[in-house]
Parts: sequence; C-alpha cells; structure tokens
Amino acid sequence: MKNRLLTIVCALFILSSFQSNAQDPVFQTFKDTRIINSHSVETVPNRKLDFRIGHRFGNIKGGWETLYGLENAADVLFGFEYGISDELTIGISRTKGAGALGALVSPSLKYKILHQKDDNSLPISMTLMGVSTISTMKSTDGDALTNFDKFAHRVSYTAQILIARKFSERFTLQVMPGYTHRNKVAFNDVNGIFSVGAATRIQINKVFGIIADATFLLADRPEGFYAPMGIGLEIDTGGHIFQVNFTNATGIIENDYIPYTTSNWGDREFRFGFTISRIFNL
Amino acid sequence: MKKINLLSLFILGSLFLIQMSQSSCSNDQLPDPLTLKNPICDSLEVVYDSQIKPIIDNSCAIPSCHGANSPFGDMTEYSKMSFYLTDNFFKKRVIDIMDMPEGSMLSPEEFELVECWVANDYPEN
Repeated sequence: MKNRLLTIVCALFILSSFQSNAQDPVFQTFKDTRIINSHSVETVPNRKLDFRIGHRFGNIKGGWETLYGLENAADVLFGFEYGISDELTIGISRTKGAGALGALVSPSLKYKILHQKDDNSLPISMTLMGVSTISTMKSTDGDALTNFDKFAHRVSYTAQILIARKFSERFTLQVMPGYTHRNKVAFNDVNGIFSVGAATRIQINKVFGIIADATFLLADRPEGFYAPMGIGLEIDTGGHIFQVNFTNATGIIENDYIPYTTSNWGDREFRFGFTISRIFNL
Repeated sequence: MKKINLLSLFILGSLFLIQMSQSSCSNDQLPDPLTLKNPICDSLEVVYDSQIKPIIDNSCAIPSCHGANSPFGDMTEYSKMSFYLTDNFFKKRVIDIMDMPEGSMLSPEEFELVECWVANDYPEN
C-alpha cells in the first residue's frame, strides 16, 4: 500500500514537470481556495498568507427561538494557508468540531499539479489535497469515540484529487474524488470512506458569484448520515473574499463534514454560514 | 526555481507520507453496545404496563416534552412509542448517550429498570 502510494505520487510529480511554460495559465478558476465546504483547485500564490475565519450557525429549523440558528454556533474555523510557491500551499487550522470529536487542529498540504492553459493545450487544472485532523480535546471514559486509548484515535485523514475546468469567465466546474480515513469509528461504521464531490462557480459580475458544492459518500454506513451540500454567494471586495452560504453540513473541515453530516436538506435541516478570507503579502 | 519547488515538494510529500504510515493508521471500532447488556437484566423481568409506563409518564410524557400530541413525539402510550423503539432511538438517547430525559435524570433504580426493559426487547406486559 505504501509503495503504491509513493509510486502514484512520484508519477504525478513527473507529470507536472511536463507542463509547457510557453502558454498562459488560466486566471482564477475559482476566486478562493475553498468553495462552500470543499477545497478548490486554487492554491495560495507564492509567499502570500491567507487568513480565514469560517462560521456555521445552528439549524434554521430552530425557528424564532434561536433566531433561525444565528444564536448557535455549530462550527467555527480559524486558519492560515501559506504559499510556499505558486503550486504548493501549506496550511493549519483550528475548528471547534461539529461531529464526534472537538478542538480539531488540521494541518494540510495542497499541490497544484496541472494548471489549465488559456489556449486549451491543457484543458483542466488538477490539485492534490491532503489534510489530517487531530482532535486535541481531553479524553473521556467509557465506550465512546472520545475515549482516546491510543493517540491514533485522535487522528483522521482526507486526501482528494481536485480536477476543475474554467469553461468561461462565468462558469467553472470541479470534480473531486477522495478518501477519508478515521482511525476509530462507532460500531457498524466503516473506517475508510471513498467520496466523490462536485462543485461549481457561476459568476454574475466582477464582484458576485454563485458557488455550490456537494460531496457524495460511497461507503456502506449506518443510517443517519447525509451528503454534505451547500450553496452560497461569493463576494470579491478586492482585498477580501467574503462568502455567505447555506449548507446542511455542520463541520467545516473535511475530516468533520464528510463522515459526520447528520443533517438532512430534505428535513429542512440546514444552516446559514459565512467565510471571510484575506490575503497578506509576506 | 522549478527544480527547487519540485525538490521541496518531494521532501514535504515524503515526510507527510512517512508520518501517515508511521504514526497512526488503525481500523478500530467501538464494541457492539448490545453485547454490553447489564447481567442483572437476565433475571429481572421488566414490562411496560406495570413498571416502565410510570417512569415514562413522570419523566418523558410531560406536557412540555413528549406529552399528548407533542410536536416532539407522543409517548403517552405503548402503541405510540413504536417509532422510538423500532430504530433504537429510545435506546440511543436514554441508555447510550443519556441526554434524555432532557433537564432531569432517571434515578439509578429507574435507569436499571429502563435498561433491562430495552435489553429484553421492550415487552408490553
């Protein structure tokens, strides 16, 4: 398994080195490194720091009593991503955690292997994304996912291949096959989950765009888990990318929202959320 | 410039993979909760009509919670409880997670009676 992984990774590096530098790479397949819940093919530019705050409120179903969820915080994210080069981004974030585990710290790595070219000599962009999540909460007793009898039980991983094409200034489409592994799961659940996601951006004008994403799980899981899906409005103010969205997913990080989304759009269980990010020059 | 990036990526990527393979990759699962039945339940006979109904009427089927025609679910009669019993919802909230009854707790004696009623498959009488 290890050898196969290394071979695939090496092959992808070699593939990326064959990119011709002669043609212009396409600009902004997406405006941000994230869509709603998922990562986009975009990486942080060389030597720039992306600071991000994300928020998911409570269930709208709560009604007036909870001001339609605005009085509850399902998840909160503070994160940094740094562009080591135009292709390589390293990141770290801290989220509250909305699934089984809390106080999540998630280091991540993103590498852009292929960059779509203006003249279509390369029709797609492709980025590899890997994020591991460590729950730093106190261990509990008894038979629970929060009883960390091994350090490994605090850790989960997600790897995704993000493939996107910018069809026009107004329209981009992305697909992302992925794999999520949790080291400890509940009875009857599975440790490994394959997923395939899709995302889109529809640009209305220079400032506003409509974004949406969905991640479908291909695993035999117990009842009560749903595909995380979201739709939102992205606002480009020049210095900041600001996003307001609606999603059923409570968690913000892949290792949280992929395995632990228990809210169902069909039952009106969705929530309001926002993300704000700003690029700093370092 | 490109060579340095490839090299740094290769090193970072390899470190990432090594970390993943070395430190933590397990396939652990929690044990089957059904096998953790309290042994006393084999000898204790608990039925809804005489023992469980009073507990539910006191702690669950109250007007603000699961009383008659409640939007959260009516628990006033055995026939109305089938929804919670067939998919283990009752067991999950009252016995496993223990976040129900909300705002109050069953006494140890009540809990044991409910636990054994659940373990013996919810007999009515």
